[in-house]
Amino acid sequence: MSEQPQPMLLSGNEAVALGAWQAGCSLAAAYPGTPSSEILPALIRWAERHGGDIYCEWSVNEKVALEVASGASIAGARTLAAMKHVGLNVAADPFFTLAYTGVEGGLLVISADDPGLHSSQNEQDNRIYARHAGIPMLEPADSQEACDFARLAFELSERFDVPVLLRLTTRVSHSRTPVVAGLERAEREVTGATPNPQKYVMVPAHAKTRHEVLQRSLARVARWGDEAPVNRVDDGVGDVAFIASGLAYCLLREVLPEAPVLKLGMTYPLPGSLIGGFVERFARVVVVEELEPFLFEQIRALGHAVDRLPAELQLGELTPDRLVHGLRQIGIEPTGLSPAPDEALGPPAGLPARPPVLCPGCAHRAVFAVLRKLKVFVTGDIGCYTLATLEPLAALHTCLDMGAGISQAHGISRATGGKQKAVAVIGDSTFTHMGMPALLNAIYNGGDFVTLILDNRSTAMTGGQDHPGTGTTLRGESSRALDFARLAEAMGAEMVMQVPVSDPKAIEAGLRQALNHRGPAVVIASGLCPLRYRVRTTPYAIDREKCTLCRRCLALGCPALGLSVDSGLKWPVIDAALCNGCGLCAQECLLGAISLADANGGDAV
Amino acid sequence: MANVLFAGVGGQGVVTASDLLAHAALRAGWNVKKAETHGMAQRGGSVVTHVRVSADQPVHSRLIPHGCADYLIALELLEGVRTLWMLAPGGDSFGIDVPHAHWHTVVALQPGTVIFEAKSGPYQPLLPEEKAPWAPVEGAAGVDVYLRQIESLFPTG
Repeated sequence: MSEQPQPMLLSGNEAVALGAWQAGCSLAAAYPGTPSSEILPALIRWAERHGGDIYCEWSVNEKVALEVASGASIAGARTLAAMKHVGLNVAADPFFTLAYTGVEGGLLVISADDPGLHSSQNEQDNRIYARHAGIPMLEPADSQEACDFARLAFELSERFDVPVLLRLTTRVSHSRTPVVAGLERAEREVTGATPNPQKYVMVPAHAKTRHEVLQRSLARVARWGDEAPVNRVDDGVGDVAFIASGLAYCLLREVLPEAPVLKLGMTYPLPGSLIGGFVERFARVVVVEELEPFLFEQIRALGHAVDRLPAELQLGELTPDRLVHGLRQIGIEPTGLSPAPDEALGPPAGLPARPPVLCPGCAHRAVFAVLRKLKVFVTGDIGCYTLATLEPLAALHTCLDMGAGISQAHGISRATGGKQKAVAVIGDSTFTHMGMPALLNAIYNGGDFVTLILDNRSTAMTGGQDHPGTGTTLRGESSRALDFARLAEAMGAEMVMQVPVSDPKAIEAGLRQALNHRGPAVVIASGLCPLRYRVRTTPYAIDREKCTLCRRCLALGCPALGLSVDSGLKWPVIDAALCNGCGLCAQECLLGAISLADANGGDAV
Repeated sequence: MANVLFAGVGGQGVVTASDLLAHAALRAGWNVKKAETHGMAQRGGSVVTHVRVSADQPVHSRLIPHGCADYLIALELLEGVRTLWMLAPGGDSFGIDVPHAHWHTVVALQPGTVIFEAKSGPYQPLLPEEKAPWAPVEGAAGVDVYLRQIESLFPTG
């Protein structure tokens, strides 16, 4: 009999990893994406601290990750694939058909959604995927449930022979709440794959049968949900009751602590009998949910005249204030908060905004300074460099999805009959994710534009993870580093060149040459991410004797450069604490007013 | 219930600071929830974290409702101004702004006091000449006497 474990303060991502570790998950694959990125590193840490043999990898994209996991499942391993919400779009192809094939070892698909777009290009509600594919879905509300539901998901997956979707959101993934959990792992033997073509070869004849099997399984899962503690009723007072899941449930408990609530932990398939029994007990039942009216529409379709929050709340993150506002609009007064939140409050107008910016010494800055000068149309992609769309660089003109920039540049060139030559910028990690087929397509189809691979040896925006270009795996093992130049040549690019990001003149010369070339050209701009590789050298300083206040340096948008008022003039200054010594501003200055701080004894502040 | 809002800029340690408080609350056996900002946060953008703690009540929402923050710990002036409106009306000030290059010491008048000190710029260990010449070195004999002298400057009760 072990003693009661102490509570741990875990993020939702750490808690999911703990649940998977406990369940004996032995293979996990993912592509990093906020807010899901910490799940695999956390899984590795649990195994390092408390034992267990778990293979974890950064796959090149989410589709590949899910397919790797599906192979592991066929071999009998408990396995998971983790991704951000838009990653499930990439992985949708295997996701839908895996619902038909089912599993051997439990298969957990983790989707971390981003209501409110904290760090994403859209705020799609991936609960709809569960219903569309016919894959059961669990929605934890806090870290304790994230841990418990992850463990449960493996059991459900095996019991009902279907993958299970664990749907997180930013506020679940990136909040810390107490978790009480045992540190015991159920190690499982992986027996290996044995042929079962009726189940795993999805030709039409087999797939038709498996589709029917899936429908029967889902009906069984729904009946399980009628009884299982994963769904529960919080008894309360009053004749107005609520149905909620995930974060919306937490907010509701805060705002209306005494109201009766049906708390759904499994939001697909819905427990029809449980919902029916609950709804008929009350005069009015309101569904409270974040983003799409997913529960509302399904419960209405079951024939229950439930109510919901005003439709405008479907956009953006649900917060305590917005919930209070929404409830008041439908005639329900919140009782739980003192003082009641004032929905009219907001940040004062007119304050300078502080948007995220490229870091001091960022390997991308010089490239965008050159692109701005060349006045070309720049098709962008997903990564830190998307920030170059903001002033003062303002040299990135599209951002759609992973790998889109290359294909968009191809489309522009073809639609204009070659008159407009765009530059497609794409990061190294994004290029391996989905840029490779895009470049192959463009070269094959005679695209006439420039692909500029920004190779900073890092999946930087999500925290500096490794990828095939870094030559290191998630487990820290050495691997073969992808050679971008040789790959581009092998794909058939006639002009391939490499330029160092430390030399803006070389970048400009290279890009001009590439733009003058007829046909697809590939330029690889190489320089280490200073954040990931901790690149930092002597800071620079500005010599006021030589400075003419032209502000060319400021136009680089470097956070280390600012203005300081002295003698009635606004002087550009370099904050020595922020400057990492890349020297780009010194190269930009036409008057030689910027040099190493200790060289001119300058005015570093 | 106490709602503590931390505000600052990516890279300053806003998340770390709020972690310290949340862990302290957990260790004291309190209920606690904390919401962080990740991702864009390390690119120099505004960062806000919410910590909600209570010794006796359940903590449900991890976000502090508008106008309900009991404490605001701003690691940077502009971010402090930007989040000031989140403070609940009627609270006391528990913060003090010590200008750069001013000798100061901290004495806890009550056991269990938590003090959070934020400095601008990168971490630099104190140099010997930055320490007040009249104050005893940490851990040395005479520290108790020195602290009691300071305590006696405060009204008791």
